[in-house]
Amino acid sequence: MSRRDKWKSARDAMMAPLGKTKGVKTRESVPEVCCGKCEMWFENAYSSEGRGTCRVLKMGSEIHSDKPTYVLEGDAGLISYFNMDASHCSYFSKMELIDTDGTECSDPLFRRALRQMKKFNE
Amino acid sequence: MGQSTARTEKESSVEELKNRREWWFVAEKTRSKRLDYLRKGVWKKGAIGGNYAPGIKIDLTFPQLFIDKWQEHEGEAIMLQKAHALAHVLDNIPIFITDNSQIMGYIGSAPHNIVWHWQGISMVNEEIYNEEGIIPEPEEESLEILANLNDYWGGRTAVDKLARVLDPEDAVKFMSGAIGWGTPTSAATYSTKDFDYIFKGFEAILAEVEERMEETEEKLQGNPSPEILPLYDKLPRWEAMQIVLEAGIRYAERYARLARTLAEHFESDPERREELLRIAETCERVPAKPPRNLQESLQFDHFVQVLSRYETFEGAWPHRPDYIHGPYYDKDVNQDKRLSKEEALDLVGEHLIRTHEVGIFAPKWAREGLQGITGTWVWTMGGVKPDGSDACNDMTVAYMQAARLVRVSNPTFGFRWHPKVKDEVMRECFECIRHGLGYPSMRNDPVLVANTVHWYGHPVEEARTWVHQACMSPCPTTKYGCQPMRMASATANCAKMIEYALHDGYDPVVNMQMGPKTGDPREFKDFEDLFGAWVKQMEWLRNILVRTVNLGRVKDPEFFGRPFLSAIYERAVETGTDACDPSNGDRGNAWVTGFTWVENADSLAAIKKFVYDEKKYTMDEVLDALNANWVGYEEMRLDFVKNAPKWGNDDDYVDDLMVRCLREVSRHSKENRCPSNNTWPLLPENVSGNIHYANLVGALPNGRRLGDALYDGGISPGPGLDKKGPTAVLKSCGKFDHVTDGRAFLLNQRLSPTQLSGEKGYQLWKAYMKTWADLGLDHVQFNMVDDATLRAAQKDPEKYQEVIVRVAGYSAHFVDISRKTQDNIIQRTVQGLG
Amino acid sequence: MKCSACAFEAPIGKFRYLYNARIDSSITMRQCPQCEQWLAVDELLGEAKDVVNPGEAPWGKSAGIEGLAEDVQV
Repeated sequence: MSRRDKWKSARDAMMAPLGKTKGVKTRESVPEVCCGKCEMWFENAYSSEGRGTCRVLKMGSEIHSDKPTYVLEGDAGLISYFNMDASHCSYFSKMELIDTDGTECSDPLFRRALRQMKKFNE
Repeated sequence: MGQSTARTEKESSVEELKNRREWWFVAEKTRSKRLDYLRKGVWKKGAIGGNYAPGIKIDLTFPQLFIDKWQEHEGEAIMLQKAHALAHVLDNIPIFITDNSQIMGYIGSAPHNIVWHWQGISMVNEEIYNEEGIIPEPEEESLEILANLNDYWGGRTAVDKLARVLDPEDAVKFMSGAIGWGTPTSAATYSTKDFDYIFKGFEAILAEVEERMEETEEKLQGNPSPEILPLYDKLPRWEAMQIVLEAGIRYAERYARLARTLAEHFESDPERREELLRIAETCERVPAKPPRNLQESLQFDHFVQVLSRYETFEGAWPHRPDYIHGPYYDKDVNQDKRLSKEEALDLVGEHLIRTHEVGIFAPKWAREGLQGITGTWVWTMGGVKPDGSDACNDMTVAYMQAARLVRVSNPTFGFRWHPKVKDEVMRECFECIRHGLGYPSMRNDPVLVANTVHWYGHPVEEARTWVHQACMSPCPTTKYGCQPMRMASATANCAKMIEYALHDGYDPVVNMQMGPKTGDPREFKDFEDLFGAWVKQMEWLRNILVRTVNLGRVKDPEFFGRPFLSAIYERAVETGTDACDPSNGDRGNAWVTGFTWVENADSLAAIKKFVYDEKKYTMDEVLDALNANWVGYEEMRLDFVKNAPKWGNDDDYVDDLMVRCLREVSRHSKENRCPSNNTWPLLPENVSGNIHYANLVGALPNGRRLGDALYDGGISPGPGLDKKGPTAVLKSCGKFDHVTDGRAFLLNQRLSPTQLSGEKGYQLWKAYMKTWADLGLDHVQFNMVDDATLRAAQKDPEKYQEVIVRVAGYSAHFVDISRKTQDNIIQRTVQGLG
Repeated sequence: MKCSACAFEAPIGKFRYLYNARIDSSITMRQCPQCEQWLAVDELLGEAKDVVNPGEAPWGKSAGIEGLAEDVQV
């Protein structure tokens, strides 16, 4: 795979949700087991719309099918969203402490200040 | 007799408050009733830490009005399509007049609303959808509206389009959030404004546009040739300018009608009725025609700023209001005597409040990097005229006095000091600092004029017109000097330079191969190998940011479009171009903002000393300690903090390294070129990016752990690490050239309010400023609030709402910044002078 | 390490690291994952000392205050 193609797939994953009609329902859905509740998930600091990367899985991994594929070597982590279903991912590890307080500052490891996460915690 | 006793009591009470340095209560007791009402009535628009204050809501009227016309004009040239949409907004957005107010204009449909610009970046649109607390009631209905808007704009915004053009590796790394911040589009931007041109009035500009269009149409009817082909694209741009200028005039007239209606049918107080009629007359006059008095000039100015912010998120406010409005103050107060000083002060104070109330939604990273404020609105004061003579005037003094009365954290001031500044003006600056405002920052005008000429070749007369383009960078306000968009989207998280040099270009925090592979440091033979790796990482980091922003700049007219800004830019009006089009004569004034810079020198010095010179530790041990985030290596960490040389102590060992790093960057700054083929110098500063990046920069050899705040200034020593006093700090900072070694260098200093009380305090400060100037430093700013007050404010925030601190490049109310940022400010060394 | 507020016990790394008190001090702030209190921790000893509430400064005064005029606002 050329350098360009390799990074193109990462960019496409990053930009994928844009331009697709999603409505309210998709945006509000937070599965019981999702990336945002996993201690391996790292919230992106450039954007707080719920994008992040996995600290274990790399680009090319696929965790949504019944038989996920795991890539553990590579230049960039797997890009996913806080409310993505992680129930099939064997690397999912539930966070004990989830900080939903947005008045403190960026802590991609612990902080999940999204409205939907707060609702879920209530 | 009774009145006299009351006055005496009030005066003595004010004196007591002054003695206790409770300046916020002093302000409350000494400002006019009007200013007190207006100040207390204003909504807090800056985020508290990373969250908006309770009651603040996102404006949904504005985007819905906009999209109505936007979709109707789909397929037209982007500037024209946007002009139609903006005009529709300006004709229909609800307007209001606040009681006691004399200056009109607001961005949004209600005073508690903040607006956003959906055309910029889809991620921000989605962030709004996910944001806690800002969704208007009924929430379900609002979420439906937002989801529909976001579904429409997804993939259509400026950054969405740019991401498809950028090299994909650059796109992923730029948007990783690890190496820098900013949005490479004028959707999140700021622009210099040339009020010599704008104050001609919109009608005069419209006449100029009309003339250009007629000339062009005539050419298009003539002989067919390749030369006339570009002219076809100019006509819709001029038409767009016409549409927004006319809409701007109608927007002002709506206020005039409202004020007149209130005066004639509703207002029972005769004094206020007169005021409302004066407001009506003012808004009928400006911005259509040139201003004739202070109220008109302030109103014209504010309308221009409001209209600009309807067009885009202007996150800074490059401005020089004392220079612009000074002649009108002089005419009204000193010559015609139609205004008393107190009446003028009310207008000036309200100008600060109307600016402070502007709220625009910022994404989380920007809120965290600029806690407590909407943007870095640093207004420029003082300085010189184009001929080099002193430009300070009565308006300079009025703004300083008004600032102490209204105590807003935004705008703040940057004062252009030069040797001819009168003592009375210096005293006004010092009083603002002594009152704990944290502003004005002090800027060395001769140094910065020379710097502006050196880096971009601006003629010296033009360089002398400079304003703070954002917090720090000077920009001329002239036809070819004005900068139309935020080129500083190239904002680098510089601590990554040393971090990547120690990790072979790999980012251990976000787990990505970021920089080039410069080798395993364990294999480095000597310090020069490490330094060579640092240089390569520095060049890579700057290159990726500059490439992205350069592309964003040239694509902006195609992806975003600025009809209003173009209409007030002389060079755009003249050429029928978008103001952001770099081919219309823009001389270039780009810079790379260098966040988290000083960690590089301190880290390099620690390794040089302990690993290479003294061989006390091996590189292996250092890397093990860093990879463990110093956990289990606390004694070694303290050794690195306390016994390695630290910047800011007049120690050549580390200071020479700092100078060497700056010279490498300076060389590279000339190799990077902006779209106008000009340079990209470095400007080290932090705003509160040092807190935002705390969890994104791993452990470093200066002794910080992942999570610790980075150093607060651009060249400020680490908090608590400057052990040898203020003169040693100044001497370290004076070892490099503030003209040729970079664009500007932010220095935070914290002083003791008790030590600097009274006349003695002023004289101590003035002597310090003389040393600062003699050493050729370009910037310094001060915090002068003591620990006890700050601790009390942490404990009981309700009682200390108006305590202000200098963060870095801007001021904020102490209660509006996160606890971590508060503690970081308290950690700063208090310097004793004298 | 044992939480001084709720007695929760775990290796120090399980307590969320917040930030240092002063870079030249071994005192840091960490958060207990169980009771979520902010704790002052001595990193040399690996011990939680006290709960830290807003306005409290277990590490003492700002650097540089020593030797200056009285810096307390009544």
